Amino acid sequence: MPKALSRFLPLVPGTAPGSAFSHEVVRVAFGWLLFLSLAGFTGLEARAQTATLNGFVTDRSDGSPLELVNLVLQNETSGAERGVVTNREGSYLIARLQPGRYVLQASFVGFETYRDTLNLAGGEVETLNIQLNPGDADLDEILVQTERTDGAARVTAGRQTIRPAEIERIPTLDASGDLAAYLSTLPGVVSTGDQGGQLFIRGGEPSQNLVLLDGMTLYQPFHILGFYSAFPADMLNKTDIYAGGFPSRFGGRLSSVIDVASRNGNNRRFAGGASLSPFISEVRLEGPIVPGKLSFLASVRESFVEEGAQRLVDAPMPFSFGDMFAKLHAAPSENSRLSISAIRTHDRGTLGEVPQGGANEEVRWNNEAIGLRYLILPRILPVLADLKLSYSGLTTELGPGEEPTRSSSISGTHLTLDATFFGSRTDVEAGMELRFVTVSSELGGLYQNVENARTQTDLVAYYVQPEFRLGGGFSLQPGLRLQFYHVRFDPYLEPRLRVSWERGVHEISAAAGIYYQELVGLSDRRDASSVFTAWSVIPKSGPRVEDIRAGRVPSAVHAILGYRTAPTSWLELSVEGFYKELKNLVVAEWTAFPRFTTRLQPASGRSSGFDARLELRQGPFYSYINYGLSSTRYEAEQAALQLWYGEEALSYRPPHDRRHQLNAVASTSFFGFDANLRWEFGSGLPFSQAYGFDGFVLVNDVTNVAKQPSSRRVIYERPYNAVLPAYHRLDLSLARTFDLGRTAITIQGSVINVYDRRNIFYFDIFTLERINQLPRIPSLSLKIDFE
Amino acid sequence: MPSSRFRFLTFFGVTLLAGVLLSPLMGCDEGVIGVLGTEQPYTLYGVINPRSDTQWVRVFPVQGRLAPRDAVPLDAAFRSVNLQTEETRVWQDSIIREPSGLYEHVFWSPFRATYGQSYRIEVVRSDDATSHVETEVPQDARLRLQEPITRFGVSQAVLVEGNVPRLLRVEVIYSVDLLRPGTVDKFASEAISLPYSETTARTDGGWTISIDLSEARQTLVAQLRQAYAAPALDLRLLVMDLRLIVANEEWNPPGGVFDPNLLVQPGVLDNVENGFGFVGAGYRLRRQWKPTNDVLEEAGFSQQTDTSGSGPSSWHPPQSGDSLAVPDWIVNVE
Repeated sequence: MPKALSRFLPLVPGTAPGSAFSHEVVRVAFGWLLFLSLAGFTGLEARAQTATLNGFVTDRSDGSPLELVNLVLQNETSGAERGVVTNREGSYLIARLQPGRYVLQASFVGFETYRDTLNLAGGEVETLNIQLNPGDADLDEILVQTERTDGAARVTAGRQTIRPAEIERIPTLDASGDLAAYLSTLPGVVSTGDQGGQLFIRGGEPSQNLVLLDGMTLYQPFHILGFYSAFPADMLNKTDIYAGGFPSRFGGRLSSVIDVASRNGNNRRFAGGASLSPFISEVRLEGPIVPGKLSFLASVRESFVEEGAQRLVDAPMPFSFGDMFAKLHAAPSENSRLSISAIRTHDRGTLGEVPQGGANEEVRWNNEAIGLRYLILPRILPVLADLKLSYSGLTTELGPGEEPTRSSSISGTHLTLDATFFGSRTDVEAGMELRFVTVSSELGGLYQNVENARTQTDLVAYYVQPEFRLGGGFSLQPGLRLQFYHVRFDPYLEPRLRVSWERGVHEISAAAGIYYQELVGLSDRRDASSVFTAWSVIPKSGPRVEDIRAGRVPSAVHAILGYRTAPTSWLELSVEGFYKELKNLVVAEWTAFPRFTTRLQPASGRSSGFDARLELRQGPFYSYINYGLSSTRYEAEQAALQLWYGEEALSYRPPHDRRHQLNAVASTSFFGFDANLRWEFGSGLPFSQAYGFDGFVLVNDVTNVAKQPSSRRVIYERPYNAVLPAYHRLDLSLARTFDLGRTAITIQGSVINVYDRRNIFYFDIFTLERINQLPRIPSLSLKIDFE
Repeated sequence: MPSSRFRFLTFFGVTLLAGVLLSPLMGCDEGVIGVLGTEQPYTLYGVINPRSDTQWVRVFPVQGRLAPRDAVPLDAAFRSVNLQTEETRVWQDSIIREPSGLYEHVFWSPFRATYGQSYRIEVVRSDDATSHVETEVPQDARLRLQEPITRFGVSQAVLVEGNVPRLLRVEVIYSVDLLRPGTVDKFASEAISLPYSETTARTDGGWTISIDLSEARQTLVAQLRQAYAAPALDLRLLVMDLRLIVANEEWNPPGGVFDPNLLVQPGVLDNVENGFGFVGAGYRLRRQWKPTNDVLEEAGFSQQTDTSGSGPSSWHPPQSGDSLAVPDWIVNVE
């Protein structure tokens, strides 16, 4: 048994009461008690003389699960109707049915309606898996829910669902879309632009975003070239992004959640594809291993930037990246699903000017993760249980490849068990999470107060999250998350609340919550372009466990209020305001030494603003416009500030505080071509101006100052007192797909940065060098899909 | 549904409109002003030392770019004026190469500054931009040891005789042998500095430095036990070495601490007019002695004689210091 696991699981005879170990036992026992209570409660219901119907709904053509399928069950005797909608895994469950004969109808847009008659006996849990045939649905069906849940303006309390079709509307450098390109169009999401692969969401820093792929944590999944991530569109099922106010199911991060679900491989027949562009090439293959039972999906992408794209533009592009993804999906029984996913990514590149004589500031990172997921609809309980076990790791290096000057790694094992207890008007989701994370760093000296270190942090968390559907379109989802650390008995309590009220074409939603993050990513945030991130556990000057015990981990309070309306079938708009209060942050200490490696200081912060989105859908014409206004301020609490500025705390705009953002996307098709257009605008990011540069000698003795070493110094104005020029860019793409029966060939031409705007990536105050984003880049790409 | 022709025209129109609207932005190149510039020409660092034959001051030009400087003379005329005698001296530029490889400038002048007198230092650029600073050299002072008081431990006071404005970096370096408990078996020798800036107090004729020998022994034992992972040890004191800086009024780092991360900020410990940096004035005082065996025993130090014949390994005869009359309670004084 792993040492970390043994901290929580075994009950050793003779454990001293009150010891740290007995605390662990109490915690685990507490969690299981909570679980068993819920299970027992619903079990009692199941043992009553009612029936339960559950199962999975899939697409007959490829076996993929279908979400949002409407299922209506009508009692032939009483005429009473019960309806549900399938979830992300295509599963459904209808509990507490009176025994009798029922007519079941399953319908979904683009599929033939399924009808069946079945007898349900009291005390039974019946599993019925449904396969829908692609085709036209009946129009007179009874729909439980007809609305889609995705779309650019479809935001409910900070949550937005993104489907691959939407991703592919964003003009990119190759014919395959990528989630990164879409995320950068969202209001409130500030990216480092074409390079760097860092996302700041509603004032939060990249390490405060929780990125999950099939339940596996990915620490740095965005590639060094900002158009790409580890998530190509044709690998995805859907992505839920919570820009804040995320529910109790998620924890350990302060800012946001990007929850990515991959699709399953085709379990009916083999299919695949390949694409080629000057930037990246991709090969994808999927198919049945055991038809109808076991399928695979594999995707490999590798960049060709240095070999290809660099020749198209007169600028060095020292970037190399790629990713591999594989997934096995099986149906071991009628009522269960099993999947194993694995991913590996690599990135290498030099941001900014490549120094003569070699890339000594090269940054490299590798993600790797493997995860197992087991989904079961038990025959004895009206419950959907979801078990996930995963391992994730990230290594980051800065400096020459043979001898990096800094390196950092984080790896962890993650076990979650989620259960959804279904009721007629109330569903209860509850679960537990075990996380064993190890961080280690070799930082070539002091870096952000952190020396070479290897630290382990273990966490056990429980959550419960009921959802009350109170009628009249009102839904209330309170939640509570308890996070225990092995060094602290008292849990961190994280209450959450999500509310929505839907009335006709209007929806009002709100969310609030408290969040803690014990693992922090330390970066040189003098400007937003820094990529190297060293992961650490609560870096403070004292013993780190003391910080956890004392509750001094970074924390956040979120509040969101939004309104959405769809006055016509082709128009939807939404407005959402947000507020985030951040405490116990660690930020780079202010210093006049001309270096990016500084010490840390405590800080607090707040971020507020609003997003406005307008979406148009009219036949093949699709467009949306997003505007985001936000303001983020940090208050640093460095001891010397009183002396330097006469203020106890220094209030400043952090370098990722983009005040205004505007994104316009339009796509249509004509004469067999698909055309996409995107224009984005972002106001300038803060940076620090200087009066000049001189030297500094520490005058601490009467010795000859000629023998005292000096260092260079920057005479700054106030921190982040100025803003860089605004960022804006126009991208276009035009694609034509030739359908050749079982093969489709797509040819796409695209131009990124059409009017060759010299957007600034960052400004090096020390060298006065301005590093620009990518210039105008034309690209031609080819994609072949077959089945 | 609109025809392909209509959609094409619409898309083309939108693109054209975007192009027209964005045309003012095309090719436009907004500059970035990274450095605002300043009228303050120089940054100076140095200490006027009345006990040195030559005075040195580092001079950094305030530049608009963080670039290595060439090994060429600085565009600066440097002079000092004794404000009491009006004696003016022109200083000479010299270029040093730092371990980092950078070339820097040090101006120097061969003279001995006078105690109690003020100096004005001016550095003038060819366009007459001038940075200047005035600094007063403190009065001369001497150290006098007081008789130890052996009640409730051992206290040793040292007088700084002279009307000097400030004492900095007051420390005593204790040279000790580490002994196994109850033996004369020395297993190591160490020289450890303990700070005493906090125990200084102004008196009518100068300053008093209070040294608690009993407390010092406890601190030393605690530090050395941790350093050597020794559960217990005895200490044999070989010599006490008091060192301090007599400084002028302006040489006053915040909190009395020379923290480079704090002092590097422009404006902190900064007395140069129309420029940056700090030029202070001061000199060092030092005194070495060994208390008598009775005093050491009272303070808890071991009095076991080293029979190995190797003698103390870390103590050397004093190099310099003030001469004092030798009281009979002091042994081993310079």
